[in-house]
Amino acid sequence: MSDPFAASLRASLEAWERQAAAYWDSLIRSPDVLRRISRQANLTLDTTRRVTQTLERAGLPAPASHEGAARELYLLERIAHQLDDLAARIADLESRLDGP
Amino acid sequence: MDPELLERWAGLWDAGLRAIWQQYAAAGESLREQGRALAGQTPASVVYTEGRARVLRYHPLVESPRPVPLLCIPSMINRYYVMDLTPERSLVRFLLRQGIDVYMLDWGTATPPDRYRTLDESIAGVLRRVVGAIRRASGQPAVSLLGYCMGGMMAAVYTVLFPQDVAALVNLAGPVNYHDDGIYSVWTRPEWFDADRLVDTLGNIPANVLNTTFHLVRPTDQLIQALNYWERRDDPAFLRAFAALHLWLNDPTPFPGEIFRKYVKDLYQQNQLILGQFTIHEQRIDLGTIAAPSLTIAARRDHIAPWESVAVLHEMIASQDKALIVLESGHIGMVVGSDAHAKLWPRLAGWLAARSGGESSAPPT
Repeated sequence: MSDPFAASLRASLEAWERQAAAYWDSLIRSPDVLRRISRQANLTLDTTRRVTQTLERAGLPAPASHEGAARELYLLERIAHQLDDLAARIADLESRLDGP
Repeated sequence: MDPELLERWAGLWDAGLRAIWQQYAAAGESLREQGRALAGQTPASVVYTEGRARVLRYHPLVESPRPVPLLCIPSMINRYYVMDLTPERSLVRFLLRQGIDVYMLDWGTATPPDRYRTLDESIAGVLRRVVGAIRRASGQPAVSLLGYCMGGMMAAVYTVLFPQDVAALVNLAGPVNYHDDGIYSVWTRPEWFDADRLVDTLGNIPANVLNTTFHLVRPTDQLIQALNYWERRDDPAFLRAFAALHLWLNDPTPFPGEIFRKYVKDLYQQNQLILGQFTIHEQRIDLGTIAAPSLTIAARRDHIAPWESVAVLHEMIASQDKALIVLESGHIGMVVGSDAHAKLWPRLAGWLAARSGGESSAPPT
């Protein structure tokens, strides 16, 4: 494409984009639109949870079947980090007390 | 939609935009690959790890770095390397050249156990241990904090909780007021946004969900990016920055569920922080008690963190040594834009250098 054409295309696109973006912005701020999106999203989330619960009850693998283990792992990791930090602070204190 | 807008769109598409878009879309993976080779390349050593998080200490670029270290705290939603985007467009490298001893907290990529990680633990636990590790490594009693976006809020809250740890505070585009006309403030209103349902169902908020919402703020901008790419695709210098930013914009990380829940409910929905109702481990956070030297930086065209919602921190704090910079820029452009090195970096580096000890600061180069 020639440069004058490209310049013209850019000018036209930028003008269009500004208007389209303004229209879009008003749309995605509209309470009515946001409520409708929210209703649909909530339906999807609720369906997801029902599927997961059904899989669990059937004894089949489901994301939530790892929930308990994930939480325990998180807590164990946290304790480990706290202990490591405590050990580092004690070591630092010991080196200061021992002096140069 | 206005039929005239649709008609103009069809005209643009047929006039050449289709070919331009197809070329841009086809280049996506190669751009991201190029970006991966460039982003976050400033040499550093990992000096601390905790779970998925790690702390980088960048190798000095001067013989004698200033004694007070600086910890950069990025948002948890996007990758840390925005502050080290390419070798030519790196806030980190600029600060290193000014003699600042720079550390970076990389929050890492959340895994399923991280859905239980809390914002309280992240600030009063993880961040506290990170700062402690840096204090021990540097031998300094206090550390300067530079928080970007959500990291700015975390740095400010940390300074309230542990003022003895903080030599200076820089809030870079971190909102402390969450009720404004910014799009995220609108989208998260409790009338239509059920954070509990989302977290209880999904756990961590998936990266692709976050990425989609980012692009939905102004989806038509992708067309301008396509045209920018097409016009300058043979310009290697342009492509380097473009590719790295393209990678970063398409490289979000899952958001830990419990952190998301509190972030949305306590901050976006209830605006607790500016109202003095926000708590961390049941300790109330009063931003007015911040007395450390503080620099607040906002951007007038910031649609993610509206500038007034960032700048208000400057009015609230008790610091005697404080400054406010409001840039004619956007949220991302202020850090990595083509003129960031002229608009922001020297002022930020000069302010920090003057408060980092060592030889008196020369003008930033």
